[in-house]
Amino acid sequence: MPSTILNEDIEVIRRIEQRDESALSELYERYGGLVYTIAYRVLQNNGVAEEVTQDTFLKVWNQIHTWDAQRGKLTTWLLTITRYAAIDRLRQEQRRHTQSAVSLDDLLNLIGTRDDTEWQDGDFVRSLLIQLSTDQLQVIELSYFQGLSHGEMANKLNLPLGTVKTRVRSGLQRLRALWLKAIEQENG
Amino acid sequence: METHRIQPNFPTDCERLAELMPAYALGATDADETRLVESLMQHCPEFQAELKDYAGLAQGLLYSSPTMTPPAALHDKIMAAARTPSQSTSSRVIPIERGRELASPPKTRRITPIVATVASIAAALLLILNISLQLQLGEANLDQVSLQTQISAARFTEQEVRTLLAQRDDVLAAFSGSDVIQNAQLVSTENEAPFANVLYAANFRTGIIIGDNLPAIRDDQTFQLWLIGIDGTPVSMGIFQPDADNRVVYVFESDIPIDTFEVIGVSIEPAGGSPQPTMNPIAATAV
Repeated sequence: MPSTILNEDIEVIRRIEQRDESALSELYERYGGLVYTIAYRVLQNNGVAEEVTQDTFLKVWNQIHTWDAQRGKLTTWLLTITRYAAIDRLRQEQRRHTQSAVSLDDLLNLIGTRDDTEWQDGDFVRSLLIQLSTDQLQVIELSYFQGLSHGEMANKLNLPLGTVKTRVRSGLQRLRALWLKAIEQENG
Repeated sequence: METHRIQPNFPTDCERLAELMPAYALGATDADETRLVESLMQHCPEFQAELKDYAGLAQGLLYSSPTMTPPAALHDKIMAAARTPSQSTSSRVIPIERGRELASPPKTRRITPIVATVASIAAALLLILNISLQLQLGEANLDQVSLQTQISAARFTEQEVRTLLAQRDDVLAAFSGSDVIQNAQLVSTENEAPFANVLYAANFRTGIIIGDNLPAIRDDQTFQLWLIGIDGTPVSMGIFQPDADNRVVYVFESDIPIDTFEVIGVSIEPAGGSPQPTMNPIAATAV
């Protein structure tokens, strides 16, 4: 992501800290679509996705102090909050009470320490994902966007636990290999 | 109080860590596995870079969907809520049934010519279904003339009659023996505008999509119908093309009962259809 946009984000956040409503409006105009997309992908329901989107921006408005620029870009923070909130909402609807296996803080710590520019290119990510098998894509979708653990996926798909674990592992390993190859080709 | 710490057994535990890292980054590890990963990470520093790669990949998944346009009114809702201290919609404890809002009609709806026409086509199909039931009861002879007469009497346009007649056999075959007909409305996922009606029989395997104002698509594209399970897995119900007037009556069949799915969705796919949706549905309704 260009540094100018990052600087603009920081400026908007500074204004939100000062309770400038127009800054929240700008932030929504900039990232509302991305946030809504994640919420909808998890929930597959317009109305509930709308509510989660609203909650995400209200969290920014009311708890902006919880964002640490050193730990990750604003978009990553926003989208990660959205994904967690949407999965929690999905669990409420499905009466599932599984706790998040990995804490939000832990994940943001992991992500925030690397340059994540290339991951924000949706076309690039999709170009890698389409090279995975349907089975691998299915478990990635179920785990990341439905919040299912290995065991829950095995139950849902009626597959042995080991098979599910293998698909998750091989899927992400393959994705990483494709990414490394793409980077290598790009560098020449 | 004695604190239990995991003592790594090199290199076996580090190999175990390597196995679990992808799932950990996706959030697929259960609580025990998560604790194991976090404990072993301190003892297997050679894997930290790889774990960060996986975390980056997981982050990339957040950007892997084409960006949707939120409902136009959402901006104002958020701004209004921001003016109310500690407003949170999800703080309500009552769960919302999945897809309920999709299935519910808008609170205020003007009867437009488009809606009325779709409703009339749906009514015509219900008329056909009624005739079908009469036929089963031996109360009517079903032939094209009588069908056309009855439909014409209901004042449908010539084109609607032609469309309905063309679909007659499929419709009758689909609904013969069915006693519960459900009628839902596929609405745009972008702005909740009506897209098409869907008729299906509860605990049955056949449905009908009826629309008369579908959005235009390119020649190298097609509409594709999906039944989406609770786990989000889509099952293709085939492709369909509207006619020159953007109308469609499309009969689809599912191997398993339709009402075991959560959502019926329509996406725009490359001509010939796709094995999996390549975009989010442009229209959907709860089953």
